Amino acid sequence: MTAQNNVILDVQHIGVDYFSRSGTVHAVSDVSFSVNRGEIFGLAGESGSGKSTLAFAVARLLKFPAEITGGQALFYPKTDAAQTEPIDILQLNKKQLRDFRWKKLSIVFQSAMNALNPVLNVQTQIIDTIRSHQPHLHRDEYYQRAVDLVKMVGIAPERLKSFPHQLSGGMRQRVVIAIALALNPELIIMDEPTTALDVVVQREILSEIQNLKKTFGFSVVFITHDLSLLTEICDHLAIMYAGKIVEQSNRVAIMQNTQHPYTFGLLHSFPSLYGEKKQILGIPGHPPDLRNVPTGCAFNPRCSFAVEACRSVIPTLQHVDASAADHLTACHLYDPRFQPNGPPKSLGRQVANDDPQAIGTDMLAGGQ
Amino acid sequence: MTNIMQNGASAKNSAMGANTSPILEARNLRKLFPVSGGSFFGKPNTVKALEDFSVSLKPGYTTALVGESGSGKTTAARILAGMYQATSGEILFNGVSSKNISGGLQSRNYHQHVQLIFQDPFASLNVAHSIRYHLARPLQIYHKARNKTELEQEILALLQRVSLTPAEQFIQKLPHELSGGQRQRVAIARALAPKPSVLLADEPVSMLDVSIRLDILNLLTRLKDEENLALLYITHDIASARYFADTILVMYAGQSIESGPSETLIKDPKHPYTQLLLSAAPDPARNSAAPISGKGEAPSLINPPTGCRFHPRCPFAKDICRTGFPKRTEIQKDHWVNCFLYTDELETVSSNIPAHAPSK
Repeated sequence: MTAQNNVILDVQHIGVDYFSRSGTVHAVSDVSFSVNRGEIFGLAGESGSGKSTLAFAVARLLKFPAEITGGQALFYPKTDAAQTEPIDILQLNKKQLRDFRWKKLSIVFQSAMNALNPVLNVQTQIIDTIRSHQPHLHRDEYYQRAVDLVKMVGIAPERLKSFPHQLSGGMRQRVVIAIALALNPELIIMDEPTTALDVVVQREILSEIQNLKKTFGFSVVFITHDLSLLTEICDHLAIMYAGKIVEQSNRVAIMQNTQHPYTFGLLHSFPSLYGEKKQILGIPGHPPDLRNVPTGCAFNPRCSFAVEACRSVIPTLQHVDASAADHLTACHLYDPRFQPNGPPKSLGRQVANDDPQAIGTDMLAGGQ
Repeated sequence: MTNIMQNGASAKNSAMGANTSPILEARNLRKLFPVSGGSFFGKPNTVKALEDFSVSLKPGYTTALVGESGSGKTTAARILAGMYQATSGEILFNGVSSKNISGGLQSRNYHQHVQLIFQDPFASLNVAHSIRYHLARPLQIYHKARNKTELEQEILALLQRVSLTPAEQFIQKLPHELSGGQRQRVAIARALAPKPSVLLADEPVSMLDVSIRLDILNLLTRLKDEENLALLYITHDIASARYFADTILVMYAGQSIESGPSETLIKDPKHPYTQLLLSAAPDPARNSAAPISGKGEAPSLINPPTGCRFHPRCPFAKDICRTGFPKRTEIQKDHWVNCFLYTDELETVSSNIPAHAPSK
């Protein structure tokens, strides 16, 4: 637990359960990661992989029936003094939490439509946020801050009097980002901030986020299911599957030195605009029901490399390649105990000849 | 009606289906939706959802309709499926105009051959009915089974065709017991039940998890090849259109602006909007965000910009773009664009120019 200077958030062995009548759901189990100061950290995964639950746990936003079962989340605030006393987020009491939230860590939710109050105009909502944390400013100061904020995200100050329904989807998301920036937080969690938007608008919002990050130096935890987007904007990313991180590394290593078959499958689930038009197959099967997770590695029923051990032994995150210090993978393919011949040369999905899916794609690849 | 459906294998070899006649053709479709609002004594407001939309679907080929939300792609599909009546324009099925597809025998025949797959499989299946019921209905309605055993056989065969195996287990399940991808497979099986010749897929994968999208798209492609279906694939994801479609048609704010063979269109986009769409699409192969030209969002279709509706965002907009819609220019065979960068002539089809006076 040495406080490295450039780490802003250090999450260790966190677990979250949901209690339901049909059994306890381990939405997040034993997840550890750390976010560096000033970087965009990506969390990728399909629906039900626990990525949002994880982020909500870190922000202490979970309510019953969700419960954090263990672990800790340490936040290292920016200080001039040499001593950096980390904030243990999960141990904060109500008042401390109030001081912590929005000043240190803010959050941008997926649906800008629902994150904004439909009966209050934009100005009121921005000022409300500032006032609840800084109650003793003058009226004009609040207003000036609101003007600055909307200008920052590229909205004309005249729109401050607008109500959310008068704004387009992209502008609403900009307002939500402006509110997240209101108190100059050091870390912003963005939960699928661009999922509901059109591609062109999505691109604009992303470059806006990158510009703001450059100006203010905050860090971002960026949650999305769109891996092709993450690999474009993130510095480090973690891939989640069934509540666990299966692979974690920097952007380049994830793309060029993919180690986990699930990551490989995800990366190859997106047709590219450029390059050769080749056969792409995706991942067979479907994500597991978290009430009934497969034993061993949760990915084993969909994995074409699965061996006996994958069904019984749960893989842990390990350094696979000694030369890549930040690359962690949870997969038995790299465990000499289970793979005496070493990992396979290519992670491409092994296609059986009688696979009906493959026939269609062969014809597709040969078409035109 | 079925003679076209038989020589599908040979069609694959001919270049872009030049020898195949289209099975479903839409000509100059226009759709206005009346909405509340507007001045009390004046005409009611209308949403000009679709202007001068033409498309032709050929058996054995996939056509992709690409556009952002509000571009009119779903409206076009719903008109083709007979769910909406077009305000003007006509639909030709096998060369015969289908003027009245809202009722009667002709409509029944049309609906049997043109089937629509909806975007959201969580909403398109009835939660109270089993998979058996969902698939039995179209089979019964279109008389595809004579008795109970045959019905059961047909349902099992349908489930197998969409790779829901073991079919005997899936047949009695309820929608909530299935995952999103499995539900969408049921929806596809349901659309296949009346043995259609045209399949309209309205964003069939956008509600599904990324890892299973390809499986569904590969399934649609396999079915298209096996049954020689004409497939209309509606999407906002131009990269997937490149992979699964032979032809791409790009739409913006209700106007179709560019179309061509998918490879040509993506390698050499002509319309500034197509270029914008391509530069905005996420691509891990790209290192940093490319600069994009044409910021902003799609306009309101109640009072859309006059002329080319893209002109307020277009970096190349000229005066003429504000007054009229450009004539369709053929860049090369099958690749055309509606843009004043490539022509000086106005489109002459009167329905293209909004009926109302230009506003300010």
